[in-house]
Amino acid sequence: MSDDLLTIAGRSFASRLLIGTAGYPNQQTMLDAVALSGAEIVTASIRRISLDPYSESMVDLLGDRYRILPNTAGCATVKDAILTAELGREALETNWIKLEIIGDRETLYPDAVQLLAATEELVKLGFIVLPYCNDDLVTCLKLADLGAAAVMPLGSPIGSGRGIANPIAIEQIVRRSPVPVILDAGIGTASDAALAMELGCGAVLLNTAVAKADNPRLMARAMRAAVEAGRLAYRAGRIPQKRHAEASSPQLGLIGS
Amino acid sequence: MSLKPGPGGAISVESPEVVTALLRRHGIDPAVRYLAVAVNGAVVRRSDWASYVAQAGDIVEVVRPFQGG
Repeated sequence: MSDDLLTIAGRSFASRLLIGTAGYPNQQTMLDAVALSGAEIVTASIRRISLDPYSESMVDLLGDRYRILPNTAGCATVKDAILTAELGREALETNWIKLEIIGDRETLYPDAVQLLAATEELVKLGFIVLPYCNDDLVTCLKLADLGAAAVMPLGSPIGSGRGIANPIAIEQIVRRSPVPVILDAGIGTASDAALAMELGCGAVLLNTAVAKADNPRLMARAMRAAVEAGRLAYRAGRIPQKRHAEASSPQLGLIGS
Repeated sequence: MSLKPGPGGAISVESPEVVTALLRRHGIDPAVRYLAVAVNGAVVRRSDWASYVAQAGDIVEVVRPFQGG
């Protein structure tokens, strides 16, 4: 749908699905799933290299065909997140960063206070910052104020597959955010992704739901279709929900009456 | 060549050495794509690797992008 592009920081994308590259059963499945998802943006972590024998990184296989979005996954402090972002910028020659600062190891919930501080600093350093955040309107608005290029509230905890725990909060964020809202984390199946788009999100970022599905290739196709369907439904404008039935067939000319 | 994500720690420099030499000595080809280096928490640009001398006691991080969500 070339007439309905996702625009982040002046860059436009036909696909509204961003996909992660972690946790697939094997590399070929990952490559196929990424291709079938139709995603143009794929996420990567920044990690120390080991002293083991040579092994290809996903970036060797995907780097020339996709926009690789480095993340700061695993970081728990502003300092670590900024260094990781700077290393990602150097490694990938991109100033885009998925900013993730984890405040709690059990739930992997973002640390809002550090997220705000790191966003402010990274924007000053010239980064296009896409922060992974809580489904909290005030945090999202502050992130946007500080210059985040998008806000990425969670649907539910990372990898949980529990879908969108608070659709009303996501809808409020969509309505008020001056920057695109990307639903990040918690997607379990296609209906979750469709709901995110029906609520008005600009895009969905997911990984585990595809990587750990019984058939990742099929689920990648399902997610692509769901995101497209949800977006179309959002644009089409759904009917209001009603308490009672309302017949769709004409009520005049009934036989036998 | 050592390009898998590693559980190991950062490299601790024992005697002064330019970054390119230090990488090679650790089995890392400095010409490999998507590589990034930080010394003592500050990124050293690739264009400076041949001239930047890491000092004894410096901590060098060598990273690449890997699978991620």
